[in-house]
Amino acid sequence: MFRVAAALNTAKGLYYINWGKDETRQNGATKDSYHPPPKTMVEVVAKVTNKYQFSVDVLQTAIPIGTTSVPIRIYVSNAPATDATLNLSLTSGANTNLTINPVTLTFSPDMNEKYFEITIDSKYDTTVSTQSIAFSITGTDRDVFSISSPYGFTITTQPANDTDKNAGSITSWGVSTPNRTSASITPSVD
Amino acid sequence: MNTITMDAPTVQRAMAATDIITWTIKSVGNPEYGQARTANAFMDFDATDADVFTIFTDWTRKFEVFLYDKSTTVLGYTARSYGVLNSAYLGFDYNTDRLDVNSYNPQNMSSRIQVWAGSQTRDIAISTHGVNNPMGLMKLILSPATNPRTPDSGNLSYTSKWQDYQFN
Repeated sequence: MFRVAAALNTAKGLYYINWGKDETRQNGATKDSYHPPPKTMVEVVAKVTNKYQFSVDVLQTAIPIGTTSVPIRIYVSNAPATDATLNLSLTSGANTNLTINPVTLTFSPDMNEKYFEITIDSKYDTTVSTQSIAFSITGTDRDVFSISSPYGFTITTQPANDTDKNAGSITSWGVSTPNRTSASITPSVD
Repeated sequence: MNTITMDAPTVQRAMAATDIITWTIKSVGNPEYGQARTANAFMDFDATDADVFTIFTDWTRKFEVFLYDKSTTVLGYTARSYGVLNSAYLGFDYNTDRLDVNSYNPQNMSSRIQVWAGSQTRDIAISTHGVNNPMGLMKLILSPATNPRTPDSGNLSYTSKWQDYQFN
């Protein structure tokens, strides 16, 4: 696998890749085994605004106060040729009880996904149960990329009882004696 | 491999046992790829031999063949073929196995790589030719470079982050 990147100011047109090769032969073999690949045509298309879009995974549940979200993935099918930076900020303005980390995510070649987290302090006022993050794109290749903004998420109070608050632990796997075609497992969770 | 027929010469020339016909074919390198050739069912003036054209998978483009008489009495060629009539072709086999990049076919330029300025392609496969051709080496390292005939001013870059262009 390999990738070809075209800098933002690459003139549109047809280019060719020449291939060199270096063979390490099997023991005893005395002749080369392969032709190098034929010259490979690369068609460069001039810059297209918003050609590729970043996607953001949606949180399945509200974030309880006093916790940090799971890492939230931002991904794009094609990486920038040089760099494109996502800047994350709270749409409603800075809030000391709500932290986004990190607030900038820089994508460079060979980089198709990055993650960020949202930390809600236990002092957060849960009467405001929805918040959103605004994205802006900077960097060399910013025009080529777009992102749907804002990104909404919900915040909830801490669960009242410990069983909802703390992760359960498996006390027994309940494995039955398997036979040739099936096995049954009945885990017990505390 | 080629059959060339000629019109009857207007001046008789008796070939002697000492006459030597020399075919000189110059500057045929180890080609990267060849042209496919098939004989048409009709109206094909230069490629009618369906038997010969199945022998090799790849052929050169057509060219003209001249037969020169080097004797002192007759100067110039005594027979020739034409681009539209009795053209010559060289068929050849690959003497080693082939490698494909993105399944690119140089004969018709299908499966070329497309890249939009300011971005990078997705992963592009480099593979041996056909699923029944596993890698027959301890290791193979490929190295791409932009062809000097299509200079890119340093704007194109090639990366192979995970495999580093290696087969092993």
